[in-house]
Formats: sequence, structure tokens, C-alpha cells
Amino acid sequence: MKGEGAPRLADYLLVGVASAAVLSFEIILLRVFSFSQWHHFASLAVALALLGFGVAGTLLTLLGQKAVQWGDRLFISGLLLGAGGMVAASQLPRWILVRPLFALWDVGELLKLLLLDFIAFVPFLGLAVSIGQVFVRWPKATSRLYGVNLLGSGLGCLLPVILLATFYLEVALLLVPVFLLMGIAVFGLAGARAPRLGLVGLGGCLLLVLVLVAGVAPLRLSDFKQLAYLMDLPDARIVSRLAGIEADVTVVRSDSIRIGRGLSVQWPHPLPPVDAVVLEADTVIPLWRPGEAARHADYTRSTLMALPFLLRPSGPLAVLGASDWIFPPGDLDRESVLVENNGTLLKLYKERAMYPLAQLVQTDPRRYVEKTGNTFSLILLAGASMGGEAVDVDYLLTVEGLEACYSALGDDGVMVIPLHLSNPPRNAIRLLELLRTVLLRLGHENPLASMAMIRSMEDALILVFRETLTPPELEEIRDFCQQGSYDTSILPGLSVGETNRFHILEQPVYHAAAMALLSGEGSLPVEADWYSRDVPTDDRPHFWKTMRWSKLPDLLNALGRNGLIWLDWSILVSVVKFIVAAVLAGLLILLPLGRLPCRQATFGPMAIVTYFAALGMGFLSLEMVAFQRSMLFAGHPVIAAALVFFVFLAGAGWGSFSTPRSSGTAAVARVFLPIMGCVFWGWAILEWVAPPMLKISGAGCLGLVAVALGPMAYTLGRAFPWGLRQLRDSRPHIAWAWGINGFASVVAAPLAVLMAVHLGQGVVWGMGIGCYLVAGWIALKKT
Amino acid sequence: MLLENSSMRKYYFILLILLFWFSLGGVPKPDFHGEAFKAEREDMVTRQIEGRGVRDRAVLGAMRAIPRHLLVPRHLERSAYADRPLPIGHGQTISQPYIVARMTELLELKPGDVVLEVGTGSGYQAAVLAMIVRKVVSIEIIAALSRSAREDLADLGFGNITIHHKDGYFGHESDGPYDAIIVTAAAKHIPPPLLAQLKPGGRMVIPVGATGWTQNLILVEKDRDGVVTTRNMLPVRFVPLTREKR
Repeated sequence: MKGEGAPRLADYLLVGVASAAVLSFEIILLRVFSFSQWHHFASLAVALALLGFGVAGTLLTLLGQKAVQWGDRLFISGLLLGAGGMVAASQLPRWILVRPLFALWDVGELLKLLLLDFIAFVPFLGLAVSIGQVFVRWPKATSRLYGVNLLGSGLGCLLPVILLATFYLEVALLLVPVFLLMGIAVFGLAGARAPRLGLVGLGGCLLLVLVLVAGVAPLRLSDFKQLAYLMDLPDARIVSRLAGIEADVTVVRSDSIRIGRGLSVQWPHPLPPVDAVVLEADTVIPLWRPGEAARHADYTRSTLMALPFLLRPSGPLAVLGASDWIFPPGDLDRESVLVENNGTLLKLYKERAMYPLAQLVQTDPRRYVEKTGNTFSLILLAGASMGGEAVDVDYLLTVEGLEACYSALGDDGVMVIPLHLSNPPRNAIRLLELLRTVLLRLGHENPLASMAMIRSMEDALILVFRETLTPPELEEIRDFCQQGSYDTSILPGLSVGETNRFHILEQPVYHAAAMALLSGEGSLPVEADWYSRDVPTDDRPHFWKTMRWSKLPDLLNALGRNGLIWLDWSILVSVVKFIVAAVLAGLLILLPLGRLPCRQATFGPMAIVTYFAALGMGFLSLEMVAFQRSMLFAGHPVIAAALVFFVFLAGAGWGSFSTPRSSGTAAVARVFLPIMGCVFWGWAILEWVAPPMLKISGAGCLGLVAVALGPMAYTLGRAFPWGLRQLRDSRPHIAWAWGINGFASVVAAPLAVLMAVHLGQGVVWGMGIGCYLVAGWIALKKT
Repeated sequence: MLLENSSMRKYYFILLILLFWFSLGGVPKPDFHGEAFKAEREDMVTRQIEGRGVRDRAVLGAMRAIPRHLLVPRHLERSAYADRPLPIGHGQTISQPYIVARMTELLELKPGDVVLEVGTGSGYQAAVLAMIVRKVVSIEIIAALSRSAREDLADLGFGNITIHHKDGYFGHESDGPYDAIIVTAAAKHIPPPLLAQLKPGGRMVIPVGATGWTQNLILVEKDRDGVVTTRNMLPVRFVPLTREKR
């Protein structure tokens, strides 16, 4: 990278390597945060990465001409800082234990959290300075450089899939700097471009390889994680650990592990010993110890889950999603299928012969019910019992998802949804509203006639019958509840006196809510109205989002500080992230203004801010919403993320090579009109063409997503380098524009999530188009 | 033979008197004369406990009497009567005074009762119980805490508390069944062995729910026929049951 000529092949290659390293590190760090810290903070990795790019832009603007003069030294130093930061970010949490929740009131915890986040931000800053610098050095090659940057980033989305499938998180995290340092060493030493720095890279690379060969200690967990809690139990030990793309899976054994979902209070003995399968250090799923299942048939007959098997002892059975319920041994020894999208978990089930006669299918449950041509006498939506976060996407618990389940029921079929109850009631009431909508749409005039809800102290089963309940079925349910001291909350012909008898609530809120919602009798209890009852659809597949902003004062008035527990914290964290990002972005965009040379040309400062901020917001909004929607077709969030981010980045990179060189109105039209057309094309396929195509194979669905998003990404990739070309006469403005784009992306990520949750994916897609319209309008006006 | 019978009768008579005396709560109970923190203690009971609706005279009396500051780590002595839980080491806490009072009141204790406590911790809850009932059996899984609580309670003069070092999930069958059971750590479900050791007509209070977050304080009642019912009382936050390492 010498002189002011054109970049050489080695420069392009190293930019590609650095870009791939950034994305790989970001994705693996996201998993690391999710594994070791509070899961709400996982998306922080994305914010830190984007912030790194924004701050790099500000730094380069402030450096001005020096950024060019320092040439290769700055370029390689940035990369070395990035690699060093990656190592620090992977090792520091071993010594600093963070309790993120405590940071709300404990300054010490807040400082530790900030320190860790800062360390995690450093690698992104270092790499972003290097990548940003090449645009400043070679303004005439922006299209190609941007193309290589995005192609590298696209490949960087695929690399973690391989690493995470093969290695544990802590190893995968260290392999990224190895990969980067190798690139630096080759670049620095091969052409003698920067031999000293190349040697540093080589030394670092060899040192890391030695560390990896010697063995890396597991990640240290926040003590809020379930795995940390389990490992604190007496005699706890890890029986096995499996790396996985979807989640790191750890199996813990201790005689003190006792999982008793839906257990009857009449059960007189200790619970059977089970192993705990811990997904991503937090989600606990019980696993029979070898040879134990058959010995504990009586126990599993004493949980709520025994009822569906009593009602439908034979006939095809589908269990959708793994859960923390233990099924009665032998009850899956019939024509049964267990559908779960975590392949590692299914592998464990196979190894332990957990359900020896059941067919284990690795796919997304929603895709399975859409695709299967079979009908079932019993469908258990077992995964619902695991709950979720407000921002989680769940395509099974939507109107369309439950309709698909219902359609897969045979004539005598029963659909069963287990749910963890909270006090005050949240998701259960929303589920009743959702089921009412589904049943009315399917032509049931009286939904109450084909529904039942029974509950233990903390859990409930909601049963939806294909036909109206028969008298023997009603009697069987009543007997089961009486024997196990379960409460009936919904049952045709149920009187108030028959409900709320064993697990007594202040008032029979579920029964009253069901009567009000399902048959229009009586009024909805006050506490049943505190949380959202909006019916989730494929456009807003956020069943677990329950908070209503308008009801917050009522809730807090009624419950005081205890009401805080029942807020949707993932949304509140997103709001905080959005506000912090917006303030930081505003300050850091304004900071270099005084250092910028006066610019009277076509693109003034205001136009630069608006244009590049609109592009950052637009790109991220479309990317985020495409990711959410693609989960429906890809079958797993990780696959969806890898595919969508690869298509977006690689497509945009490819598009940037064909950026128009001219600046006139015709060029603006050539850049922005295809964007409008292709964004509409993408939405049309994802919204109207793809849903009926869910029946086709998994590869077919992935192909359809690529066809929907590829052309759009190609066209989106041309607007940014075209904009940079308009600034080629002023290098500081190029760096500034690069930073603005980064900052806008930081702000757009939480904003897109918040808008998708509250207003739906269509609105976010519209916002993306709007941003590109604004950018196009600015471009038209200024040229 | 006659003499023997007469002597035996005398012993039986003394034994009966002793039993009667014990059943009336006649076990020697400590008498705290210390003036230290008396005002703070009175203020704690008046504001934090009575002020929030606890009315049971026995509970109020016990909490007025017991020197809580002697059952917290020395460096936290001045905070002993504050309206919040305090750390006592080993990842454990001494509950907020109001929660101690509320949980004890929910048990509707009588002087002759035998109570099982799961989670001795500092020993404060056991002391409150012991001021009201005949006998308290307390279980602590952390050896160091069970030792220190045993010593502290003995120093205070309690003679009706027995502390066992074991996993409280299984209760303590040999001293049961119990008139009341109080669990001062969060469980994910009601331990069936505890339910089995609760007498018909007995009451249990236990925080049930996820660890690391909040739980529901559940009042469990077993009627004369052995039918169990539960009631959600209030949200609480306790450290998890069954955790030894740290």
C-alpha cells in the first residue's frame, strides 16, 4: 500500500480478510455474550461492531491527511489492534465476573460491564480504522474496495457456521484472530511491505496456535446463568459437552437436579434423578439417565402432561419442540414424531435412546406442520412451555402457525399447548385470545365448546379439540384433575365453583378471562387487561411480547416495584440501546465538524449526513426485517442469519463493482430506481410467494430467500460507493461519511427491532424503502 | 412392688407436669436484656412490620425481642434493622424483616407446635420461630452456616432449636411430621418429601419460582383429609434451595 497509486491485489485481499474477520468475530461474540452473560446483552455485539465502524470514521476524519500519510503502518497497526483486541475480549471475562442486571444499581458492576464492552469494542475499532483508511487513501477505487469489503463480510458470515459446528465457543473465538494474524503476516512479509509488523503478526499467530494446542479454559459464566447455578449444586459434574451451530450443549449430572414441571402436589416421593441438558448455558431440558425412564412411569403419570396421553392413548403423535417436561416413558412408543430444530439435542436424544421408537426430525416445527401431509391425533406444542423473550420471533404461536397445526389434526385430534403461568397472568390470556381468533377463522362458532384448560400451581395445559368435547372426555378430565389436585379453568359446562379449588388465586382469573373472551360472558378481570392481547401474526410473530406501554402506570400502581419484574426487559433494553446509540452517534457525528474543510460542492455537510445516515438506516432496517422473515423459511435462526447476512453483504459487494461512475440525474436514476423495484420484488416474494411454498424442501426455501434478497442486495450495494464517489475531492469527508453510515447502522439495529415488534415487519420494510427514497431525493437534488 | 409403683407414679407425674409445661411453651427461652439497638428494633417492628399489616402478636413480640444485630456479620451490625435483606456470606442472605414476619404469620403458629425450617442461614428466622413454638428443627446445607448459626443461637440461649447440616429438599423425617414448615430459599417446585412431612391440618410457606429472579411466596395447606391446596401470597426474591458450593 505505498504511494497514491491504485491498490494492489494484496491490499484487496487483506481488506477482504479483515472484513471477514470482523463479521466472524461479531457473530461468534454474539454467541459468547449470549452464553456467558445475560442474553439481553447478546445483541450488544452487533452494536459494538457498528459503533466501532462509526468511531473509526470519526477518527479518520480527525486524522485528516495523516491517515493517508501513515499508509501501510496505520493499516497494519489497525489490524494488529483488532487482533489484539479480539484476544483481550476473549480472555478478559475470565478474570472479571459480570452480573449485568446488578449494573442497574451497582456502580462497580456498571464499571466492570463498561470495561468489558469497551474491550470488546476495541477489535472492531481497530479493524474499522484499517478498512476505512483504504477508502480515504484510494478514493477512486471506492467501488472495488467496498465490493471486496462486503464480499469479505459475506464470507465472514459463513465462517462462524463452520467454526461453531466444529469447536467450542472459546476456541472458535480465538481462531478468528489466528486467521487475521496469518493474513497480516503474509501481507507484511511476502512483499516486504511492512516486515516488522508482519513479524509481529506471525509471532502473535504462532503464540495463539500454541495456546490453542495447550488447551483453552471454558468461558466463565455470569452466576445468573442456569449452567452456573447447576454447577454450584453438590456433586455436580459435566457429563458431556457438544459444540453446535445452534447452541453450545452441556449435560450436567447431580443428584440435586430435580425438574418437576406440572407436578401434582399429591405426588409423595422425591423426584426421579435426571440429567440436565443446558442449551447455551441457560435453557434447561431434562434427560433421563440411562435406564431410569422405565422405573419412573408412576412419576410421569403424576404430571399434567399425562392427561393428553390418557385422552388419546393411541394414534399418530407429533411433539413440536423440545421442552422441560418429561414425557411418560413409553408414551412416545407409538407412531410418533419429535420435531426440533436443534440438531445437537436430537443427537443426544438418539445417543440416550430417549425416545427409541419416535422419529426424530430436525427442522423448524412451523415448517414441519406446513410441509407434512400427515394428520395426527395428538399434537403437542411442547416448545411453548420454554417461554421466550418479547423480541423473540416465534412463527408457531401465530394465527397462521396455529391454523397450520390445527389443519394437521385428524378428525379426533387434540392440540395441546403447555404454558408456564405467571402471576399476574400474561401469556396465557394472550394465548386464549389467539386461539379464539384461530377457531373463529376456522369456522368454530363456539370456541369454548372445544377447549379445555387445566393448571397446576405454576403450569397450565390448554387443549384444543378438533370436535366438541364428548361427555366421557369431560368426565376423564374432571377425574384426572380431582385425583391430581389440578384446577380446571376452562371446560364446557364448568361452573365457577368447580374452578380455583386446589391452587387458589385471589380470583379465578383464567376462568373469568376465558368466559369473557371466548363466550362474551362477564367482564375481563382487571389483571387480565394489564398485558397485551394483540393477536400475533406472521407479520408480528412476537407472541412473548406482552407489555403494553399504555398500561404501565396501572401495572406499577397496582404492583409497585414488583411490577418491574413483569416488564418485557428485552424491549426496554432495546429502547435503552437505541437512546444511547442515538446520543453517541449524534455527538460523534458532530465532533469532527470543526476539523472538516469547508465544502461548497454538490454534497454539503447536511446532505452528507442525511444521505449516508439514510443509507445506513435503510440497509440495516431491510437486513433486520429480512432476517426475521427468513426464519420462517430457513428453519433455524442461525441458518437464517448466515444466509441473509451473506446474501446481503455478498450481493451488495457484487453490486458495488457496477456502481455508475457518472454523477448526473441519469446516474441517480440508475442507482435508485432499481433499488425501489428490487425492494418491492423482495417483499413480494417473502410476503406473497414464499408462504405457500413452505411445503417445498429446505434447500428450495433457502433458494427462494436468496432469489428474493439477492437482486435487492445487489442494487443496495451501489448507493453507498456512488455517494462516496461524489466526495472524492475531499478525503476527510469520505471518512466522515463512512462514520455516519456506521453510526446510522448502530441506531437502526435496535430501532428496527422495536418497530418490528410494535408495528410489524411490513412497516420496517416500508421504513427501509423510505430511507432509500430520502437518499435518492438528496442525490437528485444535489446533482 | 407397691413402693415401686408409687415411685413410678411419682416419676410419671413429674414427667406429665414437664410435658404439660413443655406443651405450654415452657422450654427455657432466652431473655434479652440488652439495650443495644432497642430503638432501632422497635422502629423496625412498628414501621416495617406493623406498618405493612402484620398483626400476629406472637410474631411482633418475637421480633421486638430478638437482637437481629447479633445474627448478622459484625460489619453489617448497623444495618441489621434496615428494611432489606443483608448478605451473610456463602452467597446467602438474611431476609428482610418484613418477609420474616409475614412468612411466620402465615404459618399461624401455636405454642406447642413443632416447626421445620429449611435454610437456617443466619439463624434469625429460627430464633423468631423458637420464641413462639415448642420446637424448631432447622436444616442448612452450607456447613459453615449451620455451625455458626448453632453457636450464635446457643450463645443467645435458645434451647429448643436443633440444626442439621443436610439437603433441606428431603426435610428431616425422624422429627416429623411437622405442624408447620417454612422454606427460606427458592425452590422450583414444592419438594414432595416436605409435603409428606407436613401434618394434616398443617401449613407450609415456600418461595417457588425461577432462581435468580423473583418467586411467588406460596402458602400450602394440608387439610385433615390430607388434601393439599396452595395459595399465591406475594412476590419475593430468595436465594436458591440446594446450593452448597461457593
